[in-house]
Amino acid sequence: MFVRTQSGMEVDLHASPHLIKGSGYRLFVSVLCLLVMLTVVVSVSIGSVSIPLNEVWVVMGANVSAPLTGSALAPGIAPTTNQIVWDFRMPRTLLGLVVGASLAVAGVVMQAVVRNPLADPYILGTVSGASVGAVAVITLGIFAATPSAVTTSAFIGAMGSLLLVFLLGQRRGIFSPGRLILAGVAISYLLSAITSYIQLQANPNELRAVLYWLLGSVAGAEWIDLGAASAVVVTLTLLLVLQARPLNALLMGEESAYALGVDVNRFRLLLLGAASLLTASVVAVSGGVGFVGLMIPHMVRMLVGPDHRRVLLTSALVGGIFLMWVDIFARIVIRPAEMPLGIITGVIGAPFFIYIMSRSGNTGGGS
Amino acid sequence: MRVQLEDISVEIEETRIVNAVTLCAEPGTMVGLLGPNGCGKSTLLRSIYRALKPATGVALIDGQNVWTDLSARESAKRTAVVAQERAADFDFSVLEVVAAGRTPHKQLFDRDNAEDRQMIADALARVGMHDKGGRIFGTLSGGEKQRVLVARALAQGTQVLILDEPTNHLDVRYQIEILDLVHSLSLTTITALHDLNHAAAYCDRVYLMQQGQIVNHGTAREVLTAEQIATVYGVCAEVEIRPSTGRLHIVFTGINPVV
Repeated sequence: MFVRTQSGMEVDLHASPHLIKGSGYRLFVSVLCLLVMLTVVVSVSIGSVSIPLNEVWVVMGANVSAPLTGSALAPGIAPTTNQIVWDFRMPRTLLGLVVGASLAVAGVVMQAVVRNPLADPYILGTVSGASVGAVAVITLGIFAATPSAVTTSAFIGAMGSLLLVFLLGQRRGIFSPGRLILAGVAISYLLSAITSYIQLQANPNELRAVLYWLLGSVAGAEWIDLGAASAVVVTLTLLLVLQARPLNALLMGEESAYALGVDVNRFRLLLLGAASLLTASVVAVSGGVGFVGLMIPHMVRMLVGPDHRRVLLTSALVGGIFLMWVDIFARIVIRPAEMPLGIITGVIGAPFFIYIMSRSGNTGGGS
Repeated sequence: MRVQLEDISVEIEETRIVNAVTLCAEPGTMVGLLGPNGCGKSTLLRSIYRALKPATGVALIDGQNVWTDLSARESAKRTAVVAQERAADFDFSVLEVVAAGRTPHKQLFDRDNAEDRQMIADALARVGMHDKGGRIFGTLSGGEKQRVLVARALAQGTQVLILDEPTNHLDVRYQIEILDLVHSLSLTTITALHDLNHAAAYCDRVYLMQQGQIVNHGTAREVLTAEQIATVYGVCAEVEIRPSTGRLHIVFTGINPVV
């Protein structure tokens, strides 16, 4: 798109060094939306029992329209098929979507706040806090270790550790990124020590449950977990998308942000609060799925550039698609057993991380 | 717009960096802020663009206190800044950097409109970067980066411009280019400068700082005397008016052994 200047020059305002530029972006987002839908259907059909795609469509249609038709069971579909699709695989698939989307969005925001490309949603100790909560419930038997007790306890742990990190990371009400990261590292070490100590008291069955939780899984998902987590994720992602311009200013540097009229300290607090809440709500239901929050934002910036007006939405979609596929692999690689998600994201993530480091030529000191 | 600083003191970690500075920049004039490294120039500038709240004193833009009468956003609609900063970790394009200048003018749900696009295009053309909008900012030369940041300030559409050593790391040609450009904008400009000859050539008034205080101000001819340079910078200098240009010319001859 060309704009004629006062001096009579033609300036191309769609010139871009990024892979996806100008109107190509809309097409790209449309393709991603299609991929989301396609992945949901594929994910629901794959598992220990395969369900043909056409049956998946019928079951989904029947359940979505159930309030109108009065029956969730489509003709010709076995009740067990209906149960597998709608009660087990659908919530787990959608939870994968929500977890991937929110970890990716939280990663984008964390990297902007601390202006360090190697930051991820867990740098502020969220996952260590959640681990203490979850592991305590699984092993100490204070409460019955039902999934919802584990979730609640993990969420409380995550919020507790965040509170500590924020208290330690501020100085006279000013939050400096460097201080926050150091506080996050310190609190993470402390909480990991506590988690390890609790594990020493556990029996082998509990240990296995702990390991699965720590590495992350969406296998036990129920509709009720999904409701709460997705409400938080949708609200906060929209809130953050509206802040895309000041986020760009902040990513360009602190002085730029001040110069462009961003109330830096208050804005950072808002961003950290939103990113932390996003992270805590999904970690509580899915455990510590690693690398998504680090990897996806980078992948997306390589495609569309660092402008948050594009990065946030794209990251949510790509993160969601990615984690749904990870969950599909988790179900089939060691069938009939299931692989924790963290192992798969780690196997893909670590080489990617090394690639980023070698490409950027520095360790991302943020200057 | 007139910029007035009255009795500004700034403290960092309870150390006073800027001490009771009073300064005035008349509308459309260029004011140079001079002084040795660490004398508090950047800190003083930061208190004008709301990056660092002064412990005492007021900063006024057209009579409005930037810290109490204006929000961060309102202040950024009046004052643009070219600070010392090299953000290169994230691959923003030149256009994206310049477009960020529109940030204070946009509400939550606003998209770029025709006026924004015009401002962005005009700003790029003004600094001679109209054909480099698609380049990655981090890959530009120092002079080009500085011009892009000036373009961002122009896109911000303000009447006040603050620059913190805009000629740093630039070779002579780019130094002159950037100062010519800034001078031609006829904005109310306050700029920290290292090069005294640049200050003499471009600034309507200069303020000389030492250890957080203004020790002298006036025109370059009044302020930049050999004695003053010797006491503030600790350097011996010969100051003359060149007959060919009528400009003040300062030649440094060595370290002042007294200071």
